[in-house]
Amino acid sequence: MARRTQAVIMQAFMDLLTRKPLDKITVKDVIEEADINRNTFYYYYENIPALLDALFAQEIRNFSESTERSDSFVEEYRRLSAVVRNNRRAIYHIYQSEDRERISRYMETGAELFVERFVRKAAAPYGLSEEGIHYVTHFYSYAVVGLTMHRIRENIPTEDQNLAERIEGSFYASVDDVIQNYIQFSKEHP
Amino acid sequence: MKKLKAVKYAYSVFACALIAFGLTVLIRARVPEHAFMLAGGLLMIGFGIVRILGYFSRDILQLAFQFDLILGIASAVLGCYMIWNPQAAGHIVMVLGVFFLIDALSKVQTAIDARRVGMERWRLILGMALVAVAIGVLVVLTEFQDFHIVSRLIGANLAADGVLNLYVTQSTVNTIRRKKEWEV
Repeated sequence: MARRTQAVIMQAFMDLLTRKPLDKITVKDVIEEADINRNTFYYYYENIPALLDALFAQEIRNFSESTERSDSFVEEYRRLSAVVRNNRRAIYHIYQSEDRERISRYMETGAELFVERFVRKAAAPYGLSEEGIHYVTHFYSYAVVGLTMHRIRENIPTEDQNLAERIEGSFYASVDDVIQNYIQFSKEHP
Repeated sequence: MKKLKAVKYAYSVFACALIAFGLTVLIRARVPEHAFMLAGGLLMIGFGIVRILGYFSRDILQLAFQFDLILGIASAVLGCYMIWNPQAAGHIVMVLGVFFLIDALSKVQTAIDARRVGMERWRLILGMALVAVAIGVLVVLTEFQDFHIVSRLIGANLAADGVLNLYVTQSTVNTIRRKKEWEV
């Protein structure tokens, strides 16, 4: 019952996000949309930002659970961009609000989930440290997120079919050099 | 929803009756004590019953009626006392003053809750509640004055509380069509 109630609240919130900017959504809007009473809302969430955090956490969980170890970089990026595409209006409304930092963090977490796997695979022959793996993961995650956020910011309506392949190509063309450069730099600057 | 609409309507009617009664007491130079107690008692009983019904209604925002179980019971009990003890007018005005002061203070909390939920009209609710609180304090402070002086203050208090209850009910009780896909 509790999970169903939370699911209803989150779905109502998502529906509102497709129609209104985040800054304009109130608890009153959510409880009217979800057809619940005020106390039910506050039983689960403290306020709208807390609901937004819970929504992001759920989306990250869903993304993480649906990943396949055999998926390629392109397939993983396409899954991430499909999430963005399917929730474009909601993401845009969040980005337009004062809470845009949250959407960046959400995108970074999502990107890191799959980028780290490929970084570890590429770093295996070099014995890269955990710190190095985190650095390289962040390096490429921010590139992925930056490109995606650019498309959100510019409200680009159509998806570049070759973007995923380009990103994958850029990753594999450079990751060995990035790893070796990190190792060399670490030796020279202990 | 029909029940909620009926409760909202009844609540509004009694709030208007409270306003009318309060203004009558305020404007008339001398109101007979027995008439005050009888009419006031009936009003308090009726409003008390409506308030209790309001508490058990499925108001989605749960702002207007959140304290009405206690206040409704107290109102009905006070009303019964007024009818059965019409000679106690001198004492009852003080009790009424305290009652409506508590009612106004509960609306201060309602205003804060309305702000939290994201209602734009919370400032107006707060302003009206504070005016009702101020009048209620005046009534309590003048308890030992002549009944007719205090009763006029009570009249103002009743009218202010009626306006406050009417406004809160109209602006916060939502009677939108409810989907019945599931229940809380």
